[in-house]
Amino acid sequence: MTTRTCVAVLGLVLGLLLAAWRVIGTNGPVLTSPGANVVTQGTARIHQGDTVTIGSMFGCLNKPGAITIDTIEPVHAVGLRVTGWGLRPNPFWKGGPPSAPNPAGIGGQITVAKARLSRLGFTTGRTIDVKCGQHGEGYELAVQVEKTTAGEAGASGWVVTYKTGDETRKFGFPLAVKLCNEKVSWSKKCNALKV
Amino acid sequence: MRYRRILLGTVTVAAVGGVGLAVHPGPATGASPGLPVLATGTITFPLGSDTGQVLAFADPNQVTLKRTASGDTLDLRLVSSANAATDGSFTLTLDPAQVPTNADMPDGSINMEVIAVSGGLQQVYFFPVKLVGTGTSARFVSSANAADPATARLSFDMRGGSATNVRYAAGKWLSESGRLPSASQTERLTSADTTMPVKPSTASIAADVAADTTPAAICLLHAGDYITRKPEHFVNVYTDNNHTAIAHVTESATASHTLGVAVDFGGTWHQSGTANISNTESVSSTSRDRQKAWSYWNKVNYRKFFDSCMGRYQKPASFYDILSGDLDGRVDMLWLNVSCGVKRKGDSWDTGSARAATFGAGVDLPVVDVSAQTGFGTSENVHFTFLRKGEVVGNATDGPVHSSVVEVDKFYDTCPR
Repeated sequence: MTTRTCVAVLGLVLGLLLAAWRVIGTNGPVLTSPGANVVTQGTARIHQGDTVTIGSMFGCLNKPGAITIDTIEPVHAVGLRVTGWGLRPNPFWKGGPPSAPNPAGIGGQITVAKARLSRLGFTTGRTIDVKCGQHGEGYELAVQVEKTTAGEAGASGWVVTYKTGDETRKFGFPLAVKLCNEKVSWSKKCNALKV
Repeated sequence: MRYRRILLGTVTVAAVGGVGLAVHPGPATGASPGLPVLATGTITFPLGSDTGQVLAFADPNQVTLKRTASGDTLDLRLVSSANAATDGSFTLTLDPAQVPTNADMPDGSINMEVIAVSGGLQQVYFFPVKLVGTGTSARFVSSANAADPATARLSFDMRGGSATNVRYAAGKWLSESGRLPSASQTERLTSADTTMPVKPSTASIAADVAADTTPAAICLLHAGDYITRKPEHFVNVYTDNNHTAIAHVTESATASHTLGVAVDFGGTWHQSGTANISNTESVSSTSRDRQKAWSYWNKVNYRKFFDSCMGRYQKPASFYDILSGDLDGRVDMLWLNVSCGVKRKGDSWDTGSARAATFGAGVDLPVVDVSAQTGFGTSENVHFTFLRKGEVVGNATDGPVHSSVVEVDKFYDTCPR
């Protein structure tokens, strides 16, 4: 076999490997959130410097496998910054794994809670490895944010960046929040904030 | 003159199945690669037949129909067709340029009417679509299936069954929106026998499709009288009647509703699919704030039609009124316990998505009760404001945000920790 033939064969093999890698790389599970509705949550009495946790972002996979979350970032954020994020098994997952302790004692999925991730049972785990099912199989994702403005704060949604196989993908949760100073979230000032 | 041509076509196609058998023993034909897919599906052939054709028409939009006086006639031109494969499968593609300019609805949707023909029988299914994507990814999605807009997958069961879009369950909109119909009502939506003898004009077009010749005939649509002010159940809003929260409903001027089409199958009326009406003339409407569980209604206008290719049917024509104050009223509280989230005093929860199945439940026509579903965008919402600490409870294990029905109550202590 000549050198030229060897190079040609090697090139062909590498090409096939690359093609196979690309197929495998783009064939990993995808993060999804079946039936998610567009919801806006308004929360009262949240002031500059307060830390809150925003949950209710349910995620599962379209097929068996695992994904690794890199970041969760706000969309159109006003007056807040993300200080952490975490996961915990969906509280309504029948037969799901147990959650970490929840010393804050807030039941159900977290809407907007004036508590830190760790006090709500969210861990620093980054992996989701369960296929969507009929019994709540999945994880609740949550972000911890600090209000950085003296005015009203909010975001129109959240984007999760994750790896599946060797591919990086994004998934958006259409869960808008308003963090309002006033006693009620339907005050004129809070209503003026459009998220 | 044109109508006479259709009638003459009757003789040609007395046995459409036979013509198709000779010409198309193998794979499905009619789909044009590169064109957006309108629908896929399957014909369950009637006994003794193993061929069939699928014919798609784009219905005139509500503006055109409004200008059409009762008794006037419109042409319905074939915009897509396919021969089913021997296993009954078919794919309909549609060149957007072939859609008549008078078919586009104000919300961008198109009301389609698809007729399957096989073995001397026919079935019809109505469904609204929207074109999404560009280039090679362009496709038509069923705007009735708002939770997961997908290209329609039609099932024509011509062995005593009905025509359905398997990606859209009409009965769901009756059962998940608080109106809770009887089992027989839901049953009628899905299991009625909606096959009928093929109409002469339909057979004529199907024969041309089977022979791979350009169909010369068209269907004629005769517009009839209106059936006005039919109540459309819009949404039930569930609070615990206990001052935990107040709620109001908003319905926008850009709302579009997907309402059932009632078809006369030889003296028996059944729903066979849906059609859209877009709200272009009414103003937005917001209900009062209420602390009681409350039911909200709209009024819609239907219209009678006679289609030379399928017979009599009654189709939604326009809105008469939205959030009609003379129809709403108290309903019983609904208690859910599948998933929950705790809210504090002063918080609010706003379902700003028309994807929630809480919207739309049905219209009772004189001939049959049909389904209704609102929206493709974010044009309606239910807004809860908490006067005390409480909970939002949903009917889905994935959580209240993912639930098609939610209620609010004060029993946050029962929300599992």
